[in-house]
Amino acid sequence: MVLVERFLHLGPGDLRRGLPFFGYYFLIISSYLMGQVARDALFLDQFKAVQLPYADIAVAALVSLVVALYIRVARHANLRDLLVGSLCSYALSVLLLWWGLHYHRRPWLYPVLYVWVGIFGVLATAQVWTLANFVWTTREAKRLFGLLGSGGIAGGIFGGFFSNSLAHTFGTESLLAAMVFFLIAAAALVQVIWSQSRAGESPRVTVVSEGGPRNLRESFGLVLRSRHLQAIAALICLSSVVTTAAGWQFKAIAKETLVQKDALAAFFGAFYGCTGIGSLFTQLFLTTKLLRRFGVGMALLILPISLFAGSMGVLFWGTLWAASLLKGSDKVLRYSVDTSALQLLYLPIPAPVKVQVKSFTDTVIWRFGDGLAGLTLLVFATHLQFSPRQISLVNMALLGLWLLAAVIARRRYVATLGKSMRHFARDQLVAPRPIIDRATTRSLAVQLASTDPDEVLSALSLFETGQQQHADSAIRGLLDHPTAAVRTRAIAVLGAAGDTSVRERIVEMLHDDDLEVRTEALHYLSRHDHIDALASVRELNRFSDFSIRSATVAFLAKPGEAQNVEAARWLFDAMVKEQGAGGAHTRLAAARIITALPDCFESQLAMLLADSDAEVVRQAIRAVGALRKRRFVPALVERLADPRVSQDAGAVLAGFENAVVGTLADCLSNSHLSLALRREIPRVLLRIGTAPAARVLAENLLQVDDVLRDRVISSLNKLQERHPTPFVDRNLVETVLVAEIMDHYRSYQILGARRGHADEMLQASMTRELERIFRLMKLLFPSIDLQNAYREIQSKDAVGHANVLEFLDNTLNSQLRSLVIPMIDPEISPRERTALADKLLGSRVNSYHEAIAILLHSEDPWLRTCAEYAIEKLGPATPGFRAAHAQWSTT
Amino acid sequence: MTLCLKVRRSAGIAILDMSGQLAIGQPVLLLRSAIQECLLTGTANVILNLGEVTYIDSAGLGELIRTYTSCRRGSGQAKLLNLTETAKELLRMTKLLTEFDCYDNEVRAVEAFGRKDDAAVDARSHRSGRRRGRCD
Repeated sequence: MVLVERFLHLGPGDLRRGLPFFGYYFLIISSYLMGQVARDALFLDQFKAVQLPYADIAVAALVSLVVALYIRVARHANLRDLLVGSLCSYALSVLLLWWGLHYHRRPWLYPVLYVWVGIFGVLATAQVWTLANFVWTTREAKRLFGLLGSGGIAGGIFGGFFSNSLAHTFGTESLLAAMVFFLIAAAALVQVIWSQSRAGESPRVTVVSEGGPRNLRESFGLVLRSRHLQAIAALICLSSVVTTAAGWQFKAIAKETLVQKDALAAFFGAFYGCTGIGSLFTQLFLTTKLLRRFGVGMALLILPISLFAGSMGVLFWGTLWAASLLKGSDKVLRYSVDTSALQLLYLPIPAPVKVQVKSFTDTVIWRFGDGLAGLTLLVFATHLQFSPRQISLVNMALLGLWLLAAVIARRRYVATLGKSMRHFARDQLVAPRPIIDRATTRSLAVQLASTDPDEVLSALSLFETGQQQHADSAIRGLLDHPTAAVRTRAIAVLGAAGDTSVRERIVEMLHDDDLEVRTEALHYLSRHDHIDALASVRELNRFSDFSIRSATVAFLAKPGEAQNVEAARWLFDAMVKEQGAGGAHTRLAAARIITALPDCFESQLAMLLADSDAEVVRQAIRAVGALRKRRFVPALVERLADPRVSQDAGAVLAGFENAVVGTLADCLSNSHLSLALRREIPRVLLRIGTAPAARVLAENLLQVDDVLRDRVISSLNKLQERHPTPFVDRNLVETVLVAEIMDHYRSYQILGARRGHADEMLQASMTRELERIFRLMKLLFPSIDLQNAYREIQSKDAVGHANVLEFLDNTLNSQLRSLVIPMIDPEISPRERTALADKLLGSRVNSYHEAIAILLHSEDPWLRTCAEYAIEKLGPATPGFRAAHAQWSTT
Repeated sequence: MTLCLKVRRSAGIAILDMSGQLAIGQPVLLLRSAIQECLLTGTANVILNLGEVTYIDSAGLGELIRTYTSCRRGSGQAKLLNLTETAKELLRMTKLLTEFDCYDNEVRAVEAFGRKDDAAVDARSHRSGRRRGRCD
C-alpha cells in the first residue's frame, strides 16, 4: 500500500481514501459508455441517422430543465442523500427502460433512452467531481484528483470493451441491465466515501446548499457576480469551443488523407486506443506530480499551450500527423491534467452554493460551449469556406483567450482561497487614543441619555480615555443628573474638554450635596476660571482640604492682581511633599492642577513623576504631555519600565512625535538598559507612526531578545497596514526571516530529542516563532493576507488549514515555500520535520547568532547571502556572533 | 474692603495690629508695604495680630505666606497672634497652621522670640527640611 502510494505520489492513507472514488468514477463512466453504445445502436436501429441531431437538441434542451430541478432539490438535501438518491433513480429508470425495451419495444422508448443517457452522462459525471470537492481538502484534492481522473479514463476504456463483449453475448439491451448493477455499486461506494470523509466533523461539508441559489437563474446570477466563477465558466466554455473545433479539424484532415471508410475506422480505432492509454498514464503518473510541484496555475496552462502548438503545426503543415498531435493533446491532457486542475478551482467556493454552481457550469455552460463551437464552425467553415488548416487561425485566437482566462482563473483561485480564510479579529493595535469628534460624540449621546447610571458612566469613560475635541450638550445635561458619580464625571469631562460654557452652572455646583461633586467643581473652576476658592466658598469644611489648597495655588499662581508665585510655590511644594494618610490624594490634586499653573513648577513636576503612587505618576505623565515638557522625556522613558504607567508614558512620548525618535532609538539599541523598558519602545514608535519611527523599528529587526523582536516585527506590520509605502530593507527582513525559520527548525530538533514531547514553554516558544515567521513574511509580501492565514493555521479546522496551505503554495516564492510549507503542513510528522531540520541545520543551534552562522555555512547561495547581509548589519565584531561563528567553524 | 494696620515695636519686635479684611487689593498691598518697611529698618521679627481680622481670602493668605518667607530671609520670624476661628479653620484647611507659630497671648508671643532653645530647635528643624508649627 505504502509503495503504491509512493509510486503514485500520494500521501499516507491517500490510497484508502482515493480508491472508493476511483471505483465510483470508473463505474459512472463505464455506465455512461455502455449507455451511449446501447442508445446509439438501438436508436439507429429504429430511426435514421439524420434524426440524431433532433435527439441531440432534445438532450441540450432537457439538460437545462433537469439541472434546474436538480438545483431545487439540492438546496434542501444532504449531499450524500442527494447522490445516493440520484444514483438509485438512475438505476430504477434504466431498469424500467430495459424492461420496456426488452419486453414491449415501444418506438417512443428509443428517443427517451437517447435523451436519458445524454442527461445521465452530464449529471452523473458532474456529481462525482462535486462529491470530491466536498470531502477532500484542497491539499488532498491536489494529490488525489489524478487517481480520481484515472478512474474515469479506465472506466472509459473498460466500458468500451465490456460493451462490445456483452452486446455480442447477451444482446444490446443487456447493457442497460448491466448499468443497473453498476449504478447500485456506485451508490454503495458513495456511502463508503461519505463514511470515510470528515462530514461528521466539519460543518462545512454537512450542509449542502442551505441558503444557496434556488434555481437556474439564480445560479447564473451567482456566476455573473463572482469573478472567480466567471473565470471558471470562461475556461469551460472556451475549452469546449476549441476542442470541438480541433476535433473537426482532425476528422476533416483524416478524411482528406485516408479517404477509405475502413482505413479511417482502423486509424480512429488505433488513435483513440493510444490516446486512451496515454491519458491514463498521464493521469496516474503525471497529474498529481504536476499539480503538487507547479500548482493549479501551471496545470491550467498545459492543455491550451499544447493545443496552441498543435494548431500551429496544423496551420503550417496541415498533415495528418500534425492534426493527430493536435487532437492527441486534447485526448491525453483534457481528461487528465486539465480536468483535475479545473476541478481544483471549485474547491474554495463556499459549500452552500457549490452544488448549484458546479451543476450549472458543468452542464449549462459546457453545453453552451458546444453550441458556440457549432456556430463557430458554421460561420468559418461553412459560410466563410475556411479550410481545416485555416480553422487553426480561429482556434489560435480562441486559445489566446483561453490562456488569458487560465491566468485570471489562477489569480481568482488564490484570491478566493484568501477570502475563504475566516477573518479573525485584527491584533489589538496599541493605537493612539481615539479622537472623539462631533460625529462620535453624537452617537455616544444616545448612551448618555440612558436611565442606567452605569451605562452613562461607561459612555463618559470613553470621553475620558479619548482625546475629546468637543463636549456635547448631552454631557452638559448630565450636570443635573440625579447620580452624584455621573455629575462628578461630567464636570471632569467638560473640564478636560475645556468647555467653559457651563461655568455658571459649575459655580452653583460648589454647593452640591455631594463632596465629590463640589471637589470636582472647584477643580474645574480652578483650571478654567480665575476663582478665589476662599472667597467663593462660605463653608470651607464642606470641601476636601486638598481641593481648597490646589484651588488656592491655582488662584495665586495665575497672572493678575492677586498673583503671588512665591506663596503658590510654597503651598504647592507642601502639597507635593505631603505624606501620610491623605497624602496621595493631595499629591494627586497637585498633579491634576499643575497643567493650569504657569511654567515655573518644574521641580515639583519632577517630584510628582518620581512619586510612589501610580495614579499620581499617571497624572504627572499626562501633565508632561499637556505642557509639552521635552526635558522630562528621559523620565518618561524610564517610566516605560513600570507596567502600571507604561501605557500613559508611551502615549505621552508618542505625542512628541519625531522629536523623541532619536532618544527612543538610542534606548532601543542600548543593551545596558532593562529589557522591560526596551520592550515597550516598539509600541511607542508604532504610536508615533512616522517614517523615522518606522526606520528605527526596521533597523532593530535583529534584536536578540525574542519578545523585543516580536514587538518590533509586530509594530512594523501594523505600520505597514497604515502606510503601504515600503520602508523596510527587504534583504534585512529576508535575513531575519531565514534566521527565524532556522530557529524554528532548531525547536523541532529539540522536540525530536525529547521524542516529540513538548512542554508548555517549548510549545509557547514555537508558537511565537511561527507567528514571527508569518509576520516577517507579511513584511515581505504585504499584499498577501498572511495574518488570517496564520490564524487559520492555529485553528483546528482541517479544511481551512488545507486552504491556507494551498493559498501559500500559490503565493510564496519557491525558496520560502520549500522552507515554510513543511513547518505547517499537518501531513508532515514531527519526525519528518526533525529530519528536515537536521538536513537544513546540520547540527543543533543554540542561539540566534548560531542560526546566522549556520546560514553562512549553508550550501544554498540565497541562505549564504542572507547570512552575509546579517553579518554586515550585526557587525562581525558582535561577541555573540563571533563566538557562534567560531564554534560552528570548528564543528 | 478695608484693612486698618498699626505697627508697634517692642524689644526689637514689630507687632502689626490689623483689623478689617485681609483681601485682594489695597489690604494686601498695605500689609506688604508694612512688612517691607519693617525689614528695611532691620526688624525681621514680626507678630501679626489678626484678632480683629474678619475675613481672609486667598490673596490675604498668600500675603501671610509672603510675610513668613520674607522674615525668614531676613533671619527673623513671623508669628501669628489671636487667630479667629475662621482664620484658624482657613489655616487648618490649607495646612498652614502647622507651619506658622500661632499665639493667643501677646506676651508669650514676644517671649517666644527670646527663647534660645526655641530658636535652636527652629533652626535645626529648618535645616532638616521639616517645619514645626505651634499654637498656644
